[in-house]
Amino acid sequence: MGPADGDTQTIHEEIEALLSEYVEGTLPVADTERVAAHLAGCAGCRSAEADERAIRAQLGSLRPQAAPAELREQVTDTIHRRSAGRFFARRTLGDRVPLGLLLVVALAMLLTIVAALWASATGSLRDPPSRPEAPPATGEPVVPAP
Amino acid sequence: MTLRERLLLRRLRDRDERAFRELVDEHRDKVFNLTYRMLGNRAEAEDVAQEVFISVFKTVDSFREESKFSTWLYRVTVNHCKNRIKYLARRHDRDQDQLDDAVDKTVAAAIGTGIPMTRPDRQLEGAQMEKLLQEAISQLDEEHRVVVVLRDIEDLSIEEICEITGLPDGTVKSRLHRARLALRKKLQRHL
Repeated sequence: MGPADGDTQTIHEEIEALLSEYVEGTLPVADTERVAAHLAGCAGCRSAEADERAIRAQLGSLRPQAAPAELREQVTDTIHRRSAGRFFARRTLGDRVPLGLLLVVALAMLLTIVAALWASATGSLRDPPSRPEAPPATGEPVVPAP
Repeated sequence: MTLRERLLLRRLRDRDERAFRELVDEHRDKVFNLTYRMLGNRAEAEDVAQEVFISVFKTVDSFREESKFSTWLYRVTVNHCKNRIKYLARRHDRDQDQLDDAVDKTVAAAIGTGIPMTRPDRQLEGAQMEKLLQEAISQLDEEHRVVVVLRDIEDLSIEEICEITGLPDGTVKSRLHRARLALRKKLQRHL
């Protein structure tokens, strides 16, 4: 096989690689024109193009398969069986709200309560303020003599 | 997503059994057709279709409504099919003799019940072609099978296939090309 044969083979392979998109009509204009020009003069690639179209048509003509009528009952029965009847039960708040979120909210509420107690005058968590020391008892009367 | 779909999803999240039944009724044929074309066996397809709906119901909270519901459903279905294909391959359980031939059964049933068939020869020919095609699809690699089934049988766009498979555009196109090429080679005599 000479260099020219190799080049020709490469061109066929390039065109072959573009055929899928060419048939789908999704190739850019320049590539579409290049493929169309090549196909006009190449019986082998035209045959490949015809096969490509044929296989797509055959795949597209496969008849849709209908699901068995009992599928719905089978699925719901399986769910009931696996969950011992609990799966379709109405959800509680605990089911609807993620546990992590509940924990965060609980922690935030706890911190708020602690902060409120800390800041309040009554029921404070702080140590009671230290009182001024009482004057030493001297035995003298507090009230001065008139 | 349509308003109806949103309402249905809300009811599903509330574990409403009637909503689940509606969902199955609405999508069962689509899901079953995909599982059947992916697996090539009716019993396996039925089993996987069941698992798909159970998964959808169990994980509906994780669906963020950023894509169409049908896209999400296809993604769940494709993932289940891929897992089943791998499982069957591991078990060496892919016996082509068991390949289901729903078409033959249909034709036979039609003949048996006297349903008028204008060109039985043509219908039989079509049935045989369908069987050959299904066999050829079942012989494709799982990654090629997915794209060709979604594109050429389910008629989804390349964009939708990218969204379902999580693959880039170029990869989907090249896999599609290889898949069709492989099918053409397998079926060349019959095209």
